[in-house]
Formats: sequence, C-alpha cells, structure tokens
Amino acid sequence: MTHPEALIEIKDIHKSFGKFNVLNGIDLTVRKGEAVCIIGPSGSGKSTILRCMNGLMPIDRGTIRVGQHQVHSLKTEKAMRPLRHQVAMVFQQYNLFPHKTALENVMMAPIQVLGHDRAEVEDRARKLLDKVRLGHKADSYPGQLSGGQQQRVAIARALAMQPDVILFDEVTAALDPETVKDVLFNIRELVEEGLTCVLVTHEMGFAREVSHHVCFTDHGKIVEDAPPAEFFANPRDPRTREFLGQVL
Amino acid sequence: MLDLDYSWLADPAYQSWLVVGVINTLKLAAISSIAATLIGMLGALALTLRIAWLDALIELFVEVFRNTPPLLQMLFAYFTLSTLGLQVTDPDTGLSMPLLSAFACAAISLSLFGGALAIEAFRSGIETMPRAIIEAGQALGYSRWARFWRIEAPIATRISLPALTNILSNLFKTTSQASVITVPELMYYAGQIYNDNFRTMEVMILVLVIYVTLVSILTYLMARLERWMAFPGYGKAAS
Amino acid sequence: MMTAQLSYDAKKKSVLFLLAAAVVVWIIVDAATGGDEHWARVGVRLPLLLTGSGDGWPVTGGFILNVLLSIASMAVATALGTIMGIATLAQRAVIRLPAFLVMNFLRNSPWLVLLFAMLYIIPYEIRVFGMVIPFPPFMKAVIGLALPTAANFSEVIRGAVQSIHSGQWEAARSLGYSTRQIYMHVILPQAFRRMIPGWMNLYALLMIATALATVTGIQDVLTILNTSLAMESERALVYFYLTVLFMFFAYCYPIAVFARRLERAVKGDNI
Repeated sequence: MTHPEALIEIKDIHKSFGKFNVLNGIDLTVRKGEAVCIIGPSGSGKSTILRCMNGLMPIDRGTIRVGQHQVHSLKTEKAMRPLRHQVAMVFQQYNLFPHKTALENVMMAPIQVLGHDRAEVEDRARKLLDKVRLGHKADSYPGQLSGGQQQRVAIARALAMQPDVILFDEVTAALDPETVKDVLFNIRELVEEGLTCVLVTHEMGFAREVSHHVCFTDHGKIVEDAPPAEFFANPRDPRTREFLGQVL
Repeated sequence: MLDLDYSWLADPAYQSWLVVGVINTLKLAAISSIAATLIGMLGALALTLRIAWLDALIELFVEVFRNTPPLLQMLFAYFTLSTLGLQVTDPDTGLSMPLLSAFACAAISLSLFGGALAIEAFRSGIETMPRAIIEAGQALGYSRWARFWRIEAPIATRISLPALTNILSNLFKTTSQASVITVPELMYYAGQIYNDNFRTMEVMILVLVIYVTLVSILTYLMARLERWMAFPGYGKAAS
Repeated sequence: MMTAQLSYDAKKKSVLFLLAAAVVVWIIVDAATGGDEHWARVGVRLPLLLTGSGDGWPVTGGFILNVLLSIASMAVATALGTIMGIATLAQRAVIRLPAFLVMNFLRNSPWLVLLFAMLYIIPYEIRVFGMVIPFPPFMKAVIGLALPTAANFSEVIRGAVQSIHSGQWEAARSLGYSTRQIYMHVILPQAFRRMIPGWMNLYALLMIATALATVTGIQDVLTILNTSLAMESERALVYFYLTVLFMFFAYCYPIAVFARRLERAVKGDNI
C-alpha cells in the first residue's frame, strides 16, 4: 500500500548491534501534520527508529523515505545534510552547546548551516524563545538554566531550522515532574499548529491527548498501531495490554 | 638516502653488551616501578587519614620531586650522598668508598621520582570517586575504614590504573638517564658501542627502536591488566 | 586551645610554613658552622649559572638558555602536535593510521634517547636550493625536545576533543552541520578550554626535560654546573646542586599550581 500524502514512509527496516537485533522489520507511515507517539518498554528500539529517520544511524535493511529523500540510500554525511535541514531532532539530554547562550544556540545553525541572514535569524530566534516563554533568558548560558528550560531552548533551536518534521526523543525523561508540563505545553502547541511530530515518550496521558496515532514497539517490532482512543481503550495485542496494565 | 651499516651487529662482543644493557635496564625499571607503586599507594593511603602535618610533608615531597629534573635528582644522589657521609672504608685498601653504587643511587632516585608521581595518581583516583558511591557506602552502614578497604580502595585502584600506566612508562623511559651516572644499562652500552665503532647513527636508531619496543610491551601489558581489572559495563555510556 | 579550632587547611598551611622556617633555620645554622664559605662560592658562580657569563651579561647560556630552549621547543611542539592530533582524529585511515604510528613511536621513546638520536641523525647543515641552513646544537635540542612534546600534545588534543559529550555531535549533525563545521563551531571551541591545563603541564614537563639538553653540548645550566664544579671543593657540590634544583623548582612549581587551578575550573563546566 502507498500513501501519496505520507511525509514519512518506513518499510521493513532492520538494525542490529553485533548479535543484538534492535529493529526487526519496522513499518511506519506518518502523514503531513500528524503527531505520532511511539511507546514501549525500554530497549525495544524506540529511540533507534528516530535516529534512523534522520540518518544518525544507518540501517541494515529496508527503506526509509522522508519527503523526497530516500534516507536508506544516503551514504555520506554530506548527502544527508539536506535531509537534516528538513528533519529536526530534540534529545533526551537537551544537547545544547554549553559555550553559547540560549539565543546563540537557537541562531547558530540557521546562520552557519543554512546561511540565512543574521538579522532575520535573530528576529526569528527571539520570537521562538518568546514562544517557548524564555525570551527573558536569551542571554543565559545552558549551565544557568534548569533542565526544563534547556529543553525548551532545544525545541526553539529545532524550530529555528524551519523543519517539516520534528523528532522528539524522550524529551521529558530527564526532567523533574514540575517542569515536564511546561515542555509538554510547548509541544502540544506545535502539534495544534499542524507541525508533523514523531515522539518517543513515556507520558501516556500526553500521548492519548495529542497524537493522531500511537505505536507500540516490542522486541524491535511495531506490534500495535492505532488511533489513541482505540489504542488505550481496546488494545488488541496481548503485549500492549500487559504493558498498559503496568504503566496506567 | 641514509646509508646504514649494521654489519657490526654480528660481533659477539657488541651483542653481549646489548643483552647486558637490556637486562640492566629491565632490572632498574622493575625495581623502581615496584618501589614507586608502593610509595604511591602508601602515600595516598596516608593522605586519606587527613593528618595535617603528614599531608604537608607528603605534599612537599611530591612537589619537589615532580618539579625538578630527574636527571638532576640522580646526579645529586650520586655525587652528594657520599660526601654527606654515606661512605664506607674498604677493609682491603683502607680507602673510603661510596656506600651506594651508581645502580643503587639510580634506583633510589627513580623510585622517589616515580613514587611522587604515583602518589598524585592514586590520590586523584580516591578523590574522583563518585559521591554517590561514598553515600551508598555510608547509607549501608559501613564504618569509615570498612568503606575505604571494601569499597573505595578497589574502585580507586581501578580508576588510577591508566594514570599509573603513564607513570610507569615514563619511569621506564627515564631509566635511560641513569647512563649519565655510569649505570651500565642499555643507553650506557650504546655509548660504549659507538665510541668503539663510530656508527653513531646506526647505534642510536637501534637503541631507540629497542626502547620503543620495550615501552610498547609495557603499555600493552598494562592495558591487559586494565581490561582484566575492569568492572563489566562500568564507565561505558548506557544506551 | 587555639590549635583545636584551626581548620585542616589552616593547619596544613602552618605546617608547610614551619617546614619552610626549618629550612631557613638549617641554612643559617649551617652557614654559621662553616657553610657560609660554600654559599659564598655559589654566590660567586650564580651569575654564571643563570646567564652563562660571569658578569651576568650578555646571556650566553645558563638557566636562561634552558628557559629559551623550552619556549622555542614548546612553540614547535604546539604547531606539530596540533597537526598530529587532528590527523589522528581524521576519518580517513590513510591519514589516521600513519599519524597514530608516529605519535605512538614518539610517545614511547625516551626523551634522552630521542635527543641523542636527533643529535646524530640531523646533519650539521641542510642545503635547500643552494641555501645552506645550519643546524647548530641548540636547534637540534629544540627539535629533539619538541618531538616527544608534540606527541604528548596531540594526545592532549585528542583527549579534549573526545571528552566532549557525544550528544554534541548528534545535536550538531541533526542540525545539518558538516564535520568541518562541527569541529569549527561546536567541538573545538569547547575542547580548547580543556586543552589549556594539559598544555601548561606539558610545558612544565618540557622545562624539566631541558636539563637533558646538556648532552648536545650547549651551555645550559647543567653543562655550566658540571664545568664549574670541577673547580670547586667536594663539599661545595651539595650547595651547588641544591641551588640548581631550586631554580627548576622555582620556575616549574608556580606553573604546575596554576595549571591545576585551571584544571579544576574547567572540570566545573562539564555537562
């Protein structure tokens, strides 16, 4: 089956580290404007799927298409750069650049990678920092910000690239509970504005509210893929049921 | 290009000089390495007692030996220890002789030099102990001493090992300086050989290669030891 | 009780102070019992030991020559080490492997042996396009000491670059940076701070190693020490050696302390 309107199309991808098979034939389709949540037990390959989507990790077998890019056939770092302009990523450990202020972190890549005009980028960056409600922290260094604030700067940094998709890799996992909701608030806004998002998360409530469909991974396979209402109310696969029983 | 002539290597006299030189180098390195490691462990152990006057003495010792040339330390030991009274009268000739041979002077000063460096290595191994490990030990009700022997010391030894490898290979290389005070090790015999056959470049290249080989073997063995002592999975990023 | 209230650091400082005082007292007592004669000899030779000429001017050698030698060697070593360090980080094996081989060879060779080898391997002069570039012993000493220092510095660079958290690479890659850009804008600016303490420690090590340059025959402090000792009494030997040991200590110890302070400051900004 083909989805002409699909922005991301993943077919039967496999990936192993040595003898350990992380991905055992993953199929996933994400349409434009959709938010897809990937949940599952740790070690089930969730983060690996994201890293394969933007080429941070090469796959052993299968195909990945993102927009017009055939990700599996991009072999060099250089060939992947146009893809990376289109697909942004936010990490669990924020990975802000500690030697630059919040504002500079947001501005750097658009200027240095995309070659955009500095004044225009600064304007955009300040608006984005305002959007994540950190306009007043523009001149702070990452080390001076709380985890939640750093993560919101990281989201602003991703948005500054004006991507078509943002991949969120357990972005709230390293945060304390009070700051989680600020970050989730920002992500929800993005979804409502129609930005395509793929999220690996442990926040079940959030997944149920914002996503268009939810995928459950176990042992390197997607064993269930359904709209949230159906996914949480009537999970079909016994493994999903067992997992939801444990976490809900 | 280079016109190297190694035909002199066939001479059994030169061969035996090289063999004796290598053996003496290995002896000197082994003695001073073991002594330096012991000094390092004892010194770092003493520092954990936090006795102010003892710590001040150790600190002084470490800084003096770290911040002066080992060659000068060796010369000082060789030329001045005997004038300071460390000499015996030879019963046969009635002449006074230094109590310590050149080899002993070299071994002592190299041990102290290496020991000073090793104290630092072990001390920083104890200091960089993750706070969480110390707290866990405290939470489990270990006494101060039990915690040190059963938890901190084994971990600190492991943490210090790469630094110790550096120090021991450094010490091995420094043994070549003992040739200056006429200790008959490899570098000394190198001088003997090229004074005899005038093939300076060939001799120096050969000796350089021998040293590099020996030091490489030492670092390889230490790397094996590090791997053998490694805690499975410790220090690797969890994925 | 005063002492009971002193903190550990204050106690340690006062003990160090007492030790220094004890040394001073010993020197005074020794001087009063005949040592002053020997100190006087040291005083006479001091300008010679420092500058290489008996009047203290012009500078033709001595401890100042050791300092100049260390600075010249460090400059060469920094340039060479940077190239070597970056080469060992190269992605292409054709560049990386030979760089590794050279680095490890230099790191595993004794400084003294390397210095001797350079003394005999480097010719007295090199002819390039009809120009004659002479290689006096001082130049050979500079190169002989710079080679192992460069190898150690390249290791410092590698260590600093690799200590940058891998998340920084991932983040920069996912923003579309090229490898060269990642080094330029993300990794090296962060790694640079972490290199400085290592670089300074290496300089102190190099300064200490300049004592070996005496084998090249240049008029460094050790050469002068040995020639002047030939004319002094056996007993004065101790005083001369202590003086030269103290010169090295007085120069290297402050550098080591400063490097350690920087190291601590740099550790603080680990992420």
